[in-house]
Amino acid sequence: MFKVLNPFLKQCTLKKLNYNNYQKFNIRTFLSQAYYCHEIWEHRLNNPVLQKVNLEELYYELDQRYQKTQQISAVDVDIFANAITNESYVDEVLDLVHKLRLSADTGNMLNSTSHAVIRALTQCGKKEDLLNALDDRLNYGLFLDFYTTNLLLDIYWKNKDFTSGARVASQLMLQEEFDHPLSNSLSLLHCYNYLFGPKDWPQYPKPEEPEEEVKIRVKYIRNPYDDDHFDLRDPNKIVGKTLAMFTNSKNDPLNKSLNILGLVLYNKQNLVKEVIKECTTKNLVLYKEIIDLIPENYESKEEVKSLNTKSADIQNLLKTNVENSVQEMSEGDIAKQCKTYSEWEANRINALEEQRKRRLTAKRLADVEDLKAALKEKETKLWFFDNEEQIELDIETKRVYYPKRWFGKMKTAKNIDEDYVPPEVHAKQTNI
Amino acid sequence: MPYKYIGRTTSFKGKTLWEIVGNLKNFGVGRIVVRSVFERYPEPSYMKILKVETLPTPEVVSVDKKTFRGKPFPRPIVIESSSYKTDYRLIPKVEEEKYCKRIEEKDVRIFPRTFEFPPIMKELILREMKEKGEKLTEVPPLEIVYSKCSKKTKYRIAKDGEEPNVEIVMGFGTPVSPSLYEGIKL
Repeated sequence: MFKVLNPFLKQCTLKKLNYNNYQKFNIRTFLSQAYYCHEIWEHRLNNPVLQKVNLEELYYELDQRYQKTQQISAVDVDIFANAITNESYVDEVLDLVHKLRLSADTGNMLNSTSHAVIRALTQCGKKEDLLNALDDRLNYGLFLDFYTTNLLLDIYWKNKDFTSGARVASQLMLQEEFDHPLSNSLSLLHCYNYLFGPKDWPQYPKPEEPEEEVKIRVKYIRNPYDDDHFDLRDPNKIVGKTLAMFTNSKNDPLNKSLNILGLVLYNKQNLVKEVIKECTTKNLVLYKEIIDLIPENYESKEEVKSLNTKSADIQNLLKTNVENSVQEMSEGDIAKQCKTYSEWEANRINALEEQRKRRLTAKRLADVEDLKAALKEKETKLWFFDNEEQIELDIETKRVYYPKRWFGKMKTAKNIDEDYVPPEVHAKQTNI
Repeated sequence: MPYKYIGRTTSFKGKTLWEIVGNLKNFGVGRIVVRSVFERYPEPSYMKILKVETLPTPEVVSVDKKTFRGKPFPRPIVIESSSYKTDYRLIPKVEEEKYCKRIEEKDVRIFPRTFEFPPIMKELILREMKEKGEKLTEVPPLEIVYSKCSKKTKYRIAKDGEEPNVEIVMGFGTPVSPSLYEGIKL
């Protein structure tokens, strides 16, 4: 028995020792556990504001207020989102975020809200909901910053879920944020791996159309317009554009080959030709594996084939890129994120205070108005007999005169002559 | 098509401002937005978003710095009542510089500063001058008063010594569409 146990124990200790050795264990994630900042994230619950929160009551209150006044406040939604610890209130959070997005307070939505929602959804494993909400920015307003992007891409890499990784990368592309080397390398890795087995990209089914023509009256007809950016729905084009935009400014062979692949998928013939020309003039040697991913039915395949190519282990290249960026950026990111968390807590408390003060002053003004009205009533009752004559005069002035309705001139009845015979009319023949 | 929409047509090509700004992080502050209707001019016209405020339902108010036909406006303008128009287009960050530099220096039309008096008035002025005893035999030219040129146009009044491009003529001058006047002596 011990012999069987021994190698098992040995493997466990080996794994512990090799915690930071990513190259051997593919299953390991790129980012260290410290990057996930779990403790500091849980630490937010120690805040007195969040401790007092009862999620069910808060949701009920926000819902009631929204139904009465059609208004919802960004700070309240932020507190609700940050106070979630398990998966029971996930649907409610999405609902609240949706309502907030459609109200006037969207401009004040805090960054911590979207961060909290994304973290909660990933913790509960609600991947589809999260990705759909990220795609639907007009209705939810959840945006990724570099930290959350890195977390998500890392988790999807661990689960070998390249489709979700490509979708997250496409969000970065839509916001045109290419500054963070770690996000860049992770996105390229995911997109490249997605292309090996493209599947499961959500297809939004077209709404049912009746067979007969149904005419709908609208005020103004909207001309069809495809802006080729937010309106992209074809997964090939999206992944192609992501690859192309991430690798645009760089000149080494890996990035250039990914650029060509991306532009081909995105279907921009003239740009492909330009890049090919550039490569041939600079005599760059590109990577065969990447060029081979170009689909067979592409028109200028001959031009592409004419490029110098060499073989290389692309996966390894991309992975080493990621590891380098991890070493470069990891610590800085962790420090920045911890600072951001404390800033967010301070901001939240300030915003809550301001909101409380605003509501208090509004309530006080309303109370004062009520008091004034009540006092006036009482005054008229107490001083009635003193002001009796004045009141009688006032009654006359309060009389409302409505303007007379004009129905038109009084028309007299026509006298119809009974012996009247209408004349006969002949069509006159006129010669021109 | 089974669903047929009937209504008034517009010449707008694009998206509403909310659809652009709501898709961007931080509501697109610092990005450049262009109205398709103004793209008919050779000079670039664009608006750089400075600040965005949201109103209930998909309406948005944005304060931005407008450049119309190559000339930037001195003060930022507010787009509120025209944010519903489905006419706006976002410019990718990569192409911003290329788009905003697209100024072609067209010839500025220079208008003459002075003009001749009408003939009868000329005679009267000459007679007046003779009566007064002034020795000038030529009538001083009449200074033209133009209505204030708007910022959007490329017209200029000639300064002293500058040759004007445009000629103001008594009578018909050259018509804009000469084909309508064929065979008629002007």
